[in-house]
Amino acid sequence: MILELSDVNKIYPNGVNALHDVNLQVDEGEFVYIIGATGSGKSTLIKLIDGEEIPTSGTVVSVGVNVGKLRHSRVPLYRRNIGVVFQDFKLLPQKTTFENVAFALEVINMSDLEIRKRVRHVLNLVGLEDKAKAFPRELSGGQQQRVAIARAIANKPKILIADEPTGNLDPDTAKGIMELLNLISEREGTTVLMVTHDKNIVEQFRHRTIRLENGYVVADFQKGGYDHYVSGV
Amino acid sequence: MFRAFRRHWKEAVTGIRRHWAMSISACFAITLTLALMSVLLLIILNLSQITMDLQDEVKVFVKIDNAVAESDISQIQNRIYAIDGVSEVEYSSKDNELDKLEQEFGESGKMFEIYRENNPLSRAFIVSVNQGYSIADISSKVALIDGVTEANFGGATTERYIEGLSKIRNGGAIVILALTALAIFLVSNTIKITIYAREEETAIMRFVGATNGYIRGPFLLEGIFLGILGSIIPIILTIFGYDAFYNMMGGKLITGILQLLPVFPFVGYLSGALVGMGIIVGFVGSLISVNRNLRWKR
Ligand SMILES: Nc1ncnc2c1ncn2[C@@H]1O[C@H](COP(=O)(O)OP(=O)(O)OP(=O)(O)O)[C@@H](O)[C@H]1O
Ligand SMILES: [Mg+2]
Repeated sequence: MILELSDVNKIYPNGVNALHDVNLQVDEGEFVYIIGATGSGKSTLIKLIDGEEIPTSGTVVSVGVNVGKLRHSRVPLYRRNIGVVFQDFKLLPQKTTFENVAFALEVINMSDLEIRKRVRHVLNLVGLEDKAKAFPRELSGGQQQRVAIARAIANKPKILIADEPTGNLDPDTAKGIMELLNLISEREGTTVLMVTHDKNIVEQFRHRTIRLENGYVVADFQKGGYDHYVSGV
Repeated sequence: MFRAFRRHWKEAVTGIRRHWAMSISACFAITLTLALMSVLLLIILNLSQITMDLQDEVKVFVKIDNAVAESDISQIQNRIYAIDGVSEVEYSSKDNELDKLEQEFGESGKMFEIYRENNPLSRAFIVSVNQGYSIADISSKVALIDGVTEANFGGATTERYIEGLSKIRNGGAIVILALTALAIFLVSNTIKITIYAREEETAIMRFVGATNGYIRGPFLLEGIFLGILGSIIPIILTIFGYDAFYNMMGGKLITGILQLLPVFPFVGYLSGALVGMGIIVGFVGSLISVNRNLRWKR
């Protein structure tokens, strides 16, 4: 088991109770969707896992680390085990594709030679080896998200977390990104946790699907698909 | 270590280039501060030197009657010691007095050597006085002791000089502290701008696993770099300015008896101190900003 949430509650300082008694277990190599209406707590769940937020009660144990108990200075070290992808890509505009990916490896003090090898490998994997010298503004949305994914997986993370990675993309482009995430999951054995609103994606690429409603896990469906348990559970 | 330094350096230079106007103004502030500081240090250190010279004068020079037997000397010494406010009583033999006389005359001092055999000088005590005691009082008390022929001192005005000088020194030190605080404040403001400009970048850095120390690195380097840059002009001004001043004054102050500190190695130490101050100001200013404004998200 690579990720386990036990009796997790999250109450924000303003009193909003974003998650209630969440229990969740994810095995290594699984691909998991997190779906639910807006405000249902999806992003909160992600933030508890990547260490941005601390659970009000309960524990989040990820890659053997009790994330909520991490000292502030240890959070970055934990993050080296996970890759994070955002809806808005979060690329550095003044850096090229290559530099944006290399940046993630520089800050963990990898040698230049290793960085070059690794960046070439992941750019190849996401299909952008010919865009290495392009700046983000010269890339399409889908291409930018590929760069962001390349950056997230550059350090061979055990878990890849993505909060609505296709949220800003048109359906065709979104499909391309999904194929890439599936490829990473299969070829690299990376555990993938993905928040999405997109019904078509969940239907088309079937994986375990967890549904949140008002901060409660209301469904955890192993075979995936959107509609089955909207009525089902 | 070195790899991280190289990468930080790249970021720091980019930071300065991106906000060059702000960086230049911070640099300018450091330059002004250090230049002022340099002038104050020149004054303070010279005053310290002068104070030390003057302090030698705030001693009672006591001549001992030639009739006093060698064995009674220590008795007189004890008597002087017993006077309230006396801190030290140093004995000086006839030979020693002659040596001092020769030294005062420098090259031509050798001419006194003919008196070595039949020394007309008196044996003497040099009496140091604790601060806060009237040297005139003590001097007149010493004069009353049997076996003492004469007790002289440099004069009460000297005492007042020394007090005045020490006030100037303390005032200068306070101004230096205030200037330092101001420069630190200006640097920290500049770095704050850099931090804001790189907010997004540092957020991403945290997500990809950069430690707090690593994220701080470029900002601290930038501060230090600004500090060093800002110290260049003050150093040049100090070296040439003091040299010119020293030559103009002929190495002496108005009264002629008070020596200025020689240009070398004095300006060398001072330059070192200025770079040091620049580095400290840059580092501390940047650290304050980093610790306050990079309120790290988790
Ligand atoms: N930092 C915060 N401080 C206070 N309340 C918050 C904070 N972040 C989220 N919330 C609240 O917590 C609840 C869950 O928010 P969350 O962002 O997890 O929802 P979500 O499922 O990701 O929604 P969306 O689909 O719109 O992204 C919401 O009511 C939201 O207003
Ligand atoms: Mg959300």
